[in-house]
Amino acid sequence: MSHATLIDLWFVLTAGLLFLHIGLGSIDLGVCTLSLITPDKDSETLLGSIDTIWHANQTWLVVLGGTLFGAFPVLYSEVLSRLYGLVIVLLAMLAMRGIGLEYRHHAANPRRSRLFAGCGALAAIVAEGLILGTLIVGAPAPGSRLAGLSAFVRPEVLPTVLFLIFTALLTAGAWLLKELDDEHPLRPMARRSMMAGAVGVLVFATYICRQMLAAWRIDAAELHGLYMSLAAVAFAALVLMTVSMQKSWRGSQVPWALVVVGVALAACAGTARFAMQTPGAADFAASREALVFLTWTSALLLPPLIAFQIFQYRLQRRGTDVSTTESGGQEPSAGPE
Amino acid sequence: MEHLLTDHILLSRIQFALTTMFHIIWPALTIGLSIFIFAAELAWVKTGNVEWRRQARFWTKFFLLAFAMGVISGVPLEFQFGTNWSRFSVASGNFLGQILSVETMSGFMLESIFLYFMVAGWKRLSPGMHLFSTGMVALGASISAFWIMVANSWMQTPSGGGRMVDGVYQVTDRLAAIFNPDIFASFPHMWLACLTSTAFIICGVSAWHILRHRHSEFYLRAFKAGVAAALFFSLLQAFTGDLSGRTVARYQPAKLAATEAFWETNKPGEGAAWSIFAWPDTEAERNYVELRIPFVLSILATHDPFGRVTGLKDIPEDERPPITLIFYSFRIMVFTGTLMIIVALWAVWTWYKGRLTPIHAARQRKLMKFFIWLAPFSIIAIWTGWIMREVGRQPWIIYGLLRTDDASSPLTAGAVSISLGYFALAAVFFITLFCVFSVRILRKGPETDQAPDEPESGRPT
Ligand code: HDD
Ligand code: HEM
Ligand code: HEM
Repeated sequence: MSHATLIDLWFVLTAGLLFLHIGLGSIDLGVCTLSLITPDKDSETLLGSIDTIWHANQTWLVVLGGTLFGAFPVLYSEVLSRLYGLVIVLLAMLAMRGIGLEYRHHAANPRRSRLFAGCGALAAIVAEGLILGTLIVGAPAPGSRLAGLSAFVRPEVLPTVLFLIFTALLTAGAWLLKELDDEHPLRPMARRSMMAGAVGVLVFATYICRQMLAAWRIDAAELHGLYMSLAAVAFAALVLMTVSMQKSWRGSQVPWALVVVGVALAACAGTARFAMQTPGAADFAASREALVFLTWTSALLLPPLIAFQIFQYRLQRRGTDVSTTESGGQEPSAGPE
Repeated sequence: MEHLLTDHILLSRIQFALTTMFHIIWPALTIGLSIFIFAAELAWVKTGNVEWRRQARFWTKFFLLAFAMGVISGVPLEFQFGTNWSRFSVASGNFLGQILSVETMSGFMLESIFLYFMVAGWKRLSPGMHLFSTGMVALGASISAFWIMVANSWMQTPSGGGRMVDGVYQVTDRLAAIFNPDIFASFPHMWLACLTSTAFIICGVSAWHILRHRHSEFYLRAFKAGVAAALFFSLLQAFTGDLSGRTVARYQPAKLAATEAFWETNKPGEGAAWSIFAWPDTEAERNYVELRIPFVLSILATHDPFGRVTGLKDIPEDERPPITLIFYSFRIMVFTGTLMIIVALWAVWTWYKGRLTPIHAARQRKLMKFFIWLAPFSIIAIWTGWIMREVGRQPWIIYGLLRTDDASSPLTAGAVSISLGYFALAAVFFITLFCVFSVRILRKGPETDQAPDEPESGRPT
């Protein structure tokens, strides 16, 4: 394969990993966030439902980071060093969230831990939105004084933040509908969260694409085909998501929610790729030989990982028995049996 | 002091050192504990003795606490290559990036996916399947240690290419880069360090309880298993340490000379002496005071009493690492390692004499106290080993090719001081949290009965 083809391949794969990270990571970030607005005992139910999945989901962020370094070392270095401040904030918030979630089992005051998990998650979503948004509207110069923190006061990055918040509402809502008993009082909230999320995701994805078209001076007509087909898929996914809520259907909404997120990200990634079709793209990527190595190793490693994770999600459906809670004083929160 | 506020490179170095030293505590524990838990579970499946199952479940609680810490501290490390060492990341982008990426895909994903089965599968999986999951978690942790050590050892002895073009290292032979000369010494030594340290921590915690007659039988079982492991691994550790020393002598003479505060290259036919104690004066290029044993350094570095050891004076001044810090770091590590072997031998002797029974064990006060003290020192040994390794390769970040000063990101000192302050506070906070929560688990003790809903409390089928 030529260097250019490999770069294309890795662009797509990196976008795929971004999807896995945002799509799956949003489930647990969203559930943590929702736990902030539910009564105490319900918060525990919510958090209990992600006890066993949040870590594997967060690992996709680590894989994404590693892959960005492996495939596009220059991009990795530039982005992270220019957005220093935001990245540190993101890491701090993820740490807070993780500790809140994992340590609440043994906490004397689980309420405080839950607050950690919820606030950390919400702040992590915002920080990540600021990072992605800054990439779209233009990163600060190297060594800028505020180290990227100026994004906090830039209204242009707001759509990306909102996009991620709605993604979290969508995926977390779908997840909870799968996890909560049929009669559970929180189901209406989960349903609203999912529906509002779906609409928000699509609206803001459209807005972000327009932002990119404007920022990079691309003619939208060239991408017409892409947008149209994605819109069709999004529509189909929305319909299926709604239909699957019917009692007689008995299917999970999670796959459809993920399709909606995937469509939105595909639109953004497609636009970005179009903009980046400049001769300079190779400067950002690792050498051909390095990409060949990366391609072979990931061809070997990624498929079983994804298969295992699907298996894990299917197993989760049959309820949980978390041995950590056994000694932690709280009831294990079982999913629907 | 003035430097500290204005030099963003120094600040980044301190930050990286602090965060890796914080991080390394947890992988050391999780790598060791996962293997210990696996062994206990294996014993249960093979013998049907539920006591082993209790051991596995009890130590799993610590495993989870440490694992969460390992994850939250590891993520900032991975990103720091980009945030603080961007020019290094670009320079090493044709090798290091792919290695980290393979590491995350192989080690971390394996570990985190099977962790789910290990934690949530006690009831749902058959004992065999559960054992398999635990094994995969242990394997994943060790695999990630391997790849990380590949990354680090390649920085120590860069190979598989060698040319820098436009500040980027060109790899021609990837296998040679992965299996660089240092990995054969450093991976075994690091991996064994994880096992040794965990064995001593398990022994230390157990000894504390044995002395206080709490759950004596349970902790005595853990103690004995720990002692057996401690002796075995600490002996191997000394061997691999010797190999590490010879690798350093061969590939990083400046590091060796600085670690030994050794100034003059020994002449042919003379052996190099080893200083137990020294206070170096870098201005005058000599040691104020020193206590030397003849020939020992030559023997350590080359296994030949007359082997040639390069002295610091034969190394250009701007290629010498700092001396005092690594001189003492090395000695703390070796002293701890030696003490570990002695104490483990002593414990095995006591065991052999039949004094490690519930009735007698608590009377072995001296022995038990030694183990309690060695528990924190097993982590200190890891820290000091790393300080020697990383500070000793200064001023290079990629040995002989790229200087640390040329590897940093264009950041302001203000930005890095704030992040460093945050990381320092977070490290203190998290360690406190870990200790508080560990004490809480220890207070509760191992569950004395099987929970009524556990069907497989008898012999596994
Ligand atoms: C439980 C911890 C522990 C113990 C008891 C020892 N070590 Fe060690 N040592 C480490 C933990 C460690 C480490 C922290 O894991 C290092 C740092 C990097 C590495 O690969 O291992 C290390 C590095 C390290 C190096 C430096 C390699 C380099 O700079 O590239 C040498 C020469 C030794 N060790 C030698 C020894 C000797 C002769 C020991 C005698 C008993 C010994 N170590 C015990
Ligand atoms: C295994 C993977 C590791 C890699 C790739 C790595 C890489 C680095 C880098 C990039 C720096 C900063 C630049 C420099 O100062 O030269 C550094 C410094 C340092 N690292 Fe590591 N490191 C690793 C593991 C560790 C661990 C586990 C520890 C300690 C427990 C450690 C201790 C240090 C220390 C003390 C410094 C500061 C040295 C100095 O600046 O003088 N390293 N390392
Ligand atoms: C500077 C070097 C290092 C970097 C960049 C790094 C990076 C990371 C990251 C990102 C994680 C979290 C992964 C997850 O989400 O599951 C992690 C955890 C882990 N790291 Fe490191 N690490 C470094 C040093 C080391 C060293 C020296 C070892 C072992 C010898 C090690 C072994 C592990 C293990 C076993 C885990 C799994 C989590 C745990 O068991 O605590 N790491 N590391």
